Formats: sequence, C-alpha cells, structure tokens
Amino acid sequence: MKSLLCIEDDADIQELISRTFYDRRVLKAFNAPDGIHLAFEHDVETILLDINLPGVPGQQAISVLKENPRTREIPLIVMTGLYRDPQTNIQCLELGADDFVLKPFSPEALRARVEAHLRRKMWSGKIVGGNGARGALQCHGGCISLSPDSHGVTLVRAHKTLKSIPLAPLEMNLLRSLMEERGRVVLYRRLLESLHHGRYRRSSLRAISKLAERLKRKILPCQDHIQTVYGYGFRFFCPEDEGHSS
Amino acid sequence: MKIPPIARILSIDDEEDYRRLVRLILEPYGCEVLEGGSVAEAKRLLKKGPLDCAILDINLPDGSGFDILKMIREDDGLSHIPIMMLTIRQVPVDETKALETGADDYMVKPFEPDELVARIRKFLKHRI
Repeated sequence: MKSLLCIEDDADIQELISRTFYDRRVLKAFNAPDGIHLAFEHDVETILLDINLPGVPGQQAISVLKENPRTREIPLIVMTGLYRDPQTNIQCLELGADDFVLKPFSPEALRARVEAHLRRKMWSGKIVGGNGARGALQCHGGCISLSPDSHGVTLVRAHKTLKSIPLAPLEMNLLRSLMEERGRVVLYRRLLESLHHGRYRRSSLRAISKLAERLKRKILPCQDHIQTVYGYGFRFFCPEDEGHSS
Repeated sequence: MKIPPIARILSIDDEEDYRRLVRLILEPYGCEVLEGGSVAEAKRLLKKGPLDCAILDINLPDGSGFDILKMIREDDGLSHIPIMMLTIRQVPVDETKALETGADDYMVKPFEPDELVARIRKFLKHRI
C-alpha cells in the first residue's frame, strides 16, 4: 500500500496530518534521518516535511531525498512557519522541494495540494510514456528514430533505413534530451544537470559542446537537426516538425 | 537567427500592473508571455499556438479564472498545461476549489518575484 510520509517534530501536527489523510497510510518520523530512512524503505507516494527539525535541518533532507533516484520523483511538500523569511521558502523550492505550505494551514487545502501533485505526476508520466518509462522518439520527418531499449539511433530517409549507429550513453542521453524538447532551446545548465546527475559544473560547458560535436559527426547525414544556439544551449530541429509542433 | 522562446506562458489578469509585473519577471528567463485581461482574451490567446504554462487571476470582468481553468482542462489539446491561479483572495475555500478543479498551484498576491520564478521553473521542469 502506498503511503504518505510526514516528517514533523510536533506531535499535534502529526495528529492533524493523520486525520486529514484518514484514508491513507501515514508514516510518521520526528526527525530528518528517520524520515529519510522511511522514504528509502517504504513505497511512499508523497512526503510532507517540516523545515524546522531538531538536529539535521529540513533543507538537508530535501537535498538527500531529491538527489537519490529512488526518492527523487516523490512529490515533496515543505511545511513552514508563516513568519519565516520568504527566501527560506524559495530556497526549499530551489533545492528541489515541489511546493510549500505555510503553517497554520487549512487541512482541506493541504489535501487538495497533495492531490494536485499526484495528478500532475501521473500526467507527466503519461507524457514521457507511462510510469516515467522513456518511450521511443521519432521526429515528424521520420529521419531520426530513437528506440527505447537500444543503445543507438536509426537514421531513415525516404522510408529507407540509411543506417543504425551505436551511440555512447552520454551521446544517447543528449540526443534524447534534445528530442524530448524538440523545437525548443535546451539550456546548457539543464543539459549539464541531466547528463551529470544533477551536478552543475561550469567546467563541463566545453565538454558538452564537444559531446554535441561528436554526436553531430556520428549522425552526419542528419547533423543539421542539432542546432547550436550560442550562449544558450542546443535545440533539436526538424523542418517537418514545424507543422506538427505540440 | 531569432532565438525561439524557451517557454510560452499565458498570463490572464484584469490588472495591467500585475500583468506587466509577471512579464517583467519572466521575460529575462527567455519566456514569451502572452497577456490578456479577460476570459474572452484568454479564449483568443489559447488558439495562438502551443503553451507551456498558464497563470490565471480569478476575478475577471467577464467571468472568472475558473471558467478558463475548466476550458483548458476540458480541451484534449490543452489539458496537460500546468496552471497556476494567482489571486488576491486568500480564502482557503478558493484554494481548495481551484486545486480540486484542476489547478496545479495557487499563489496569493502580492507575491515574491523569486517565488513566482521558482514555482514556474518547477512547472517547466527546470527549462528556465
């Protein structure tokens, strides 16, 4: 059974949360390490986290939970005091929290927020191909196709397969990231984050340009599909996508 | 080469000052902001190509932001768009109603510009 995890040191608020989510299993933790342990051990669908915890602060718990692939996708809502510095709340969002609510909160509104996050998570799953699994990608012109399981790309022209080219994992990820956002510029920062597991290193900017050059050389007949937007990033562009942009 | 916008955002508010504020906050991040002050203008703007996100006020001269919210959620081509209700009414009932009707977020005016950016950035999956 999927559970809601509440990491909160105030027993009264824990009780309020249990009552608000009376129809779910609520896991309780009174400090960050216990909460992180429960999130790793159980099938958790939402995390409610108090920012002001004894010992390890809530911000550190956000970083741990959002860096671990096992818990990264779980909607995490921070509960914070009304008179806290607004910058603390913004910092929580930037660390990876999905939302925050100010105490005292309306139980109905909190419930509605949790439902809204679960709904959006389900939709995002559908957009990328169900349960977060990554589906096959193809540009509308049909000249580049990327299948979900293989480690390569197939180039097609006029309904004839030109060739199948094996790609290195990083090249594959770069092409996939660009094709998923086709027509739009994908910023350097975002590419670096997705290719280097969330770690942004300024020194990697050159590496990513070299990676893009290598990828373009490999898919030579279709290299024009990857455009460099100087100072911003890259975009995947297929002339035939223009009429189909979604 | 004209740089295409990183994201296209619909902003509906009857107060021009707030519309301008939202535009001034989001444009430096490479967003194109489509602005309107009524339900009728929202209808027109929704037909102008793909959108990545919508920011809707609740009180509008010819209806309510809830009308636009329902319109987006009932349209197969638009229903996936993340929607934020941005309103002056700090009423928990409204917040609950908005989130249950299909909004993804609810923010009260006046707001911190950084908070708006952080929340929109979540919607856009860190594209900005």
